Amino acid sequence: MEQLFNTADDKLVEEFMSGNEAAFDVLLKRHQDKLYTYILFIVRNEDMADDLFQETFVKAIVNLRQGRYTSNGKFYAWLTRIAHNLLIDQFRNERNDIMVREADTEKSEDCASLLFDTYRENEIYNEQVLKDIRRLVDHLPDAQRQVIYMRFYQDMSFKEIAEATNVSINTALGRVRYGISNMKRMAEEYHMSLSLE
Amino acid sequence: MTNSTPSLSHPNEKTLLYLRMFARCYDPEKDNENEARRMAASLCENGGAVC
Repeated sequence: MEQLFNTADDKLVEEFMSGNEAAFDVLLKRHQDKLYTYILFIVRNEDMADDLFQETFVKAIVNLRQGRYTSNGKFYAWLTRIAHNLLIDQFRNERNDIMVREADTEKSEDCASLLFDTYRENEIYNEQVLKDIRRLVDHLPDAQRQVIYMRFYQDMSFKEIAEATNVSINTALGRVRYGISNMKRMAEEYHMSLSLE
Repeated sequence: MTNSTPSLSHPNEKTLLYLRMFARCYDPEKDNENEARRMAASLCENGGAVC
């Protein structure tokens, strides 16, 4: 078991597909917190997050044991895609109000650097700003909140986001931009300063 | 952005146990997903014996 902890995902997948359940335990332990945090960030409800997390792994187990996974070194991205599809189903059932989507590329890019600049010296101030940003993210429509989280909290590339959410790169890019535009609009509306010191 | 990454949250321990049990109970040849779900739930109630 201990040896498995140093084994790459795809090798663990191979082991599990061959019937070694201990390999699954390691995969679960390795990815559980990251995946759960992602789902919780999107749905903002612990019970719902637990249900979706469970269903994601149940689907993963079934697909893996039936040999429906192709090793490509992207096991976590594959898991995220399963979670994404479940989240979409969830969203369809509980559709939030759709916010106005206004495209403004240049402003969005300015806003991106404004919103997501690095920490500097005033940590208390910056922490408050980051909390404010998090609150703004929480008010975004589901699809935008999802891609903003992937892009800025999980450091995923647009290509990875596109793959995980089953959309084109342009759509992923657009959703991030709309998300940032909406956050900027909300920040202005509530007179929030999002500049980091 | 690494400094602003939210701290990790943790799934329910019972959910994790359920998944470990489901992984052991699911038989791809029988494709017994529903049965495996019931067995996993039952095993969780009993502390997680192996299928």
